[in-house]
Amino acid sequence: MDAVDAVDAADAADAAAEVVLDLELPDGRHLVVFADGREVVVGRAGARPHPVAGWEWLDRPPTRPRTNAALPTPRRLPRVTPAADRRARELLESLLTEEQRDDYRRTGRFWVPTPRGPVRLGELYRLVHRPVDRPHLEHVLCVVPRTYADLPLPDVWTNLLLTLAVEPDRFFDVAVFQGARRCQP
Amino acid sequence: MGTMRILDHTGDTALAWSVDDPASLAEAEALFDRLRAERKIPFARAAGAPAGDAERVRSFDPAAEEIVWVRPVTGG
Repeated sequence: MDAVDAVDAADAADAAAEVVLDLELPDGRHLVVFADGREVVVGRAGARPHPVAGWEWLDRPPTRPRTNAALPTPRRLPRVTPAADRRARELLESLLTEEQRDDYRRTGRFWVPTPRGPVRLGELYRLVHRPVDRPHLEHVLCVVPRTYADLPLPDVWTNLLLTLAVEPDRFFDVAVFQGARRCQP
Repeated sequence: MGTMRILDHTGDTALAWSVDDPASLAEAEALFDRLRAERKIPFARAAGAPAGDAERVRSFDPAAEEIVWVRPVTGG
């Protein structure tokens, strides 16, 4: 394993470790919120013990009272301003070829050539891939930068564009296949 | 004169350095190391060159014209 692979392995571990909220639920389980928006409830729901020693509940025990005031505040993401969006768009357009730039300005989408076939960026969670070995099909893929919610949308495309253009395997290795369809004009 | 651009909520944050200015060079190199430690990914390009002409860099190159830092990608 070289240094880059080691970093990649650590990336994967970190992706699972970025917890922004760990909240104990009334039934004893924990709600864990990750930086990328995933939410997981872990643990086993347990009955709240009867407050009188030696007594048992006759019916379903009440949950612990909710204390909203005591809840921790989840980390808030910085707001993306129009100026940030413009700056991100300028950087993205500076990385596009003339044809890609024309497509992007006209449709908000553009194609990126890769050895495995072109990929269309511009629609979040629905990236279109035309595999070279299946020319009549389009695969719909989902790939995003890690913790992208704070980024202006053009930055998301810059991130994916550079990854696709320079290290396409890195992109395809993590792509989540959403489905296939016949090629659309 | 080189520039690093780090994608963030402002679009990107830029840091410039000059090979004639040891202080700016040291600052840029320290930032490069810090961003690598954060597992961000650097791509270098000639100023204004399209993404297809960019290349992944492994260490700080004072002669680079522009280094764009992106984040690792993941399946959604």
